[in-house]
Amino acid sequence: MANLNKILIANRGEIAVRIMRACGEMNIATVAVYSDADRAALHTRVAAEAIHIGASPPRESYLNIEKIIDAAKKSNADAIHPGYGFLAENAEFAQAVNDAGIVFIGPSPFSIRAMGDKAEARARMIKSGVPVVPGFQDADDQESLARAAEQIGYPILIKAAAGGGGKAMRVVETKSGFPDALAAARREALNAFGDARVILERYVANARHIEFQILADKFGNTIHLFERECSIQRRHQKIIEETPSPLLDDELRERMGNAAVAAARAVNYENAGTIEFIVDPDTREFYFLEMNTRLQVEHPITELTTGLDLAQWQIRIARGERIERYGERLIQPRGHAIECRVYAEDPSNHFLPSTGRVLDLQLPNMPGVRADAGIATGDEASAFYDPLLVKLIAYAETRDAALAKMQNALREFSLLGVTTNVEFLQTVLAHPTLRQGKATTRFIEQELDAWTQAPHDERRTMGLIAAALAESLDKAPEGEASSVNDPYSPWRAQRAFRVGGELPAAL
Amino acid sequence: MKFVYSSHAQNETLDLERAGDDFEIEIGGERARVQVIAFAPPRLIFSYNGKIFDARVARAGKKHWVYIQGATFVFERAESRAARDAAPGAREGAGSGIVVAPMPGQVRGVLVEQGDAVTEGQPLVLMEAMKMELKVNAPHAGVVAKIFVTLGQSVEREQILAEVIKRGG
Repeated sequence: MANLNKILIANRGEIAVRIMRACGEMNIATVAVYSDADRAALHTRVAAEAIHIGASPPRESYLNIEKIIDAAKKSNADAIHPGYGFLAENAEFAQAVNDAGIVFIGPSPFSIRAMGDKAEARARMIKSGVPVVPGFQDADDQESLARAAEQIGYPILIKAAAGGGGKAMRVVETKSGFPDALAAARREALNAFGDARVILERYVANARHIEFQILADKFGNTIHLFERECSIQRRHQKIIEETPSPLLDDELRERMGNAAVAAARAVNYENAGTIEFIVDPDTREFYFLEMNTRLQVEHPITELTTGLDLAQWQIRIARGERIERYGERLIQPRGHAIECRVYAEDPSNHFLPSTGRVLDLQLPNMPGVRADAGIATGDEASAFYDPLLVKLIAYAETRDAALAKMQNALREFSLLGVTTNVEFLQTVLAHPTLRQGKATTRFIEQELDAWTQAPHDERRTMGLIAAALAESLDKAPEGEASSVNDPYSPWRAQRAFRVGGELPAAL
Repeated sequence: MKFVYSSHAQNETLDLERAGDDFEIEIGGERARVQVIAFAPPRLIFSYNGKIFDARVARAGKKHWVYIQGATFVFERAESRAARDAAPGAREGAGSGIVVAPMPGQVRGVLVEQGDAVTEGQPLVLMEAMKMELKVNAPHAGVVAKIFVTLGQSVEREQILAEVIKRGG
């Protein structure tokens, strides 16, 4: 078995922190890399060492292969964990890491390339008996793409060829919108993945997005760890995921699970990966969408229902452990888990990104709730990177109980200083379509597009009172005479101060 | 003392006066007695008409953030009318040709030049934030009077990007 004593995490935010914690629990030292904007970011504080790799734009830092490998050499790291996004699904990166004599925690460059190249992936899936969506990826010039779009038929989906995770994806409803959407998707793809190529797919409306977690070791043992339903999306970005899927029965679950294992085997897959399917809820037919050759954002829900630590298993597989004794027969998923993604975005401003300094962060603390955070109080949500701030994950015996727990967790979650989607998530969780387990990937655009914060809430009045009280107690505005200007006033004390006696016992 | 806050284009006035250790408060025509039980920022615990509220508060510039009973609000201390009118980025109704950034981010493209004639909805500036692209379009047909930003520049939300003057107007 390979000895992995020190791992460099080529990522930032919550996933870098998550992986560093897994390393810590395995007595493995960690190295963070950071850009100018992340000089004091949480992941640099959690790691034992932190190395600066360049300017804030991703292309100059987190997407710079040479600088990351230099940092690994400089810090004597035995392995590199790529996280998700950035270089996680870049075969040249995996190859460069291997060539430098460093262990890449993930699949082989061959598997990444085979699944990253959509044409090749498609051919292999068909050969392995895995159904695929109609699409086009044979050429990348505008003329061929436009012609192919015409043949496949609108609405069409433009996706980054090198991408995944819903980034740089555009739906085009009509022919006239194609050139603009293509140009925008290319620029986004270049920035997110360092590769501007795109592919086309027929846009399957009212579909369900259901994926299967795969684990495969170096000895040919490939298992699946059941499904995650990720149909709740906005702008093709998942916001709520759950397992098990309310759509699947045991029969369909088994067929999809077998197809997922076959798909992974078709590219000699090793390490953790995810096979994404779209499912037509009416016909119950499923199609292979893509394989994400990395750890997923939503991996925690699988961890909660299977009891496995996937980040640790990635490392264990990379150092040569076998998974066979953790084979499917021994893994029986239990209960229901839900994840909500807290994004720095404003749902009442078309979900556009918001930025700013986190003035206060209170994470929920209750049985069955996990919070994976990439920021802490005092940290900055920068416009340079992904808007994901925190993942809240709830686990309970049943779906209803897990939903109730998640609602409770969101109520206790407080983030001041940056506008987030928390109240929107509450609205989604309370929506009858979600409660019935019938939400498709178009659910939000169809039913919640015009969402705004409830204006006449009683809580708003209490909020206003709190703001005025805090302002009065904190510091009177300049030029206004007030007793709080008295330097000896108890209102100026830095420590907690109570007026009116002790807290009532009920608190 | 009077406090005027705005949020979601709504102004809210409340009057807060010290009354011994407590506060007298008037909001929406209702008067009530408020007792501060604890103030240890960000925590603020108070009772309003005998009911206890547990809030979290924080301030950044004019923005007052409040978390209370599971909801988060951001209130902006409203300025006097004259100060607001003079402020950059002031938008005076639909006739204004001032184009502001709908989100914070970087300018990835300036698509028009000063003096260009533009049609309604024509893209003026291309912005990017958090890996997302957005076109900022002309609010009406006219002539580009001025471009206020350059390629690569970081801008705040509501920062002025360009001004488009209606022809003959």
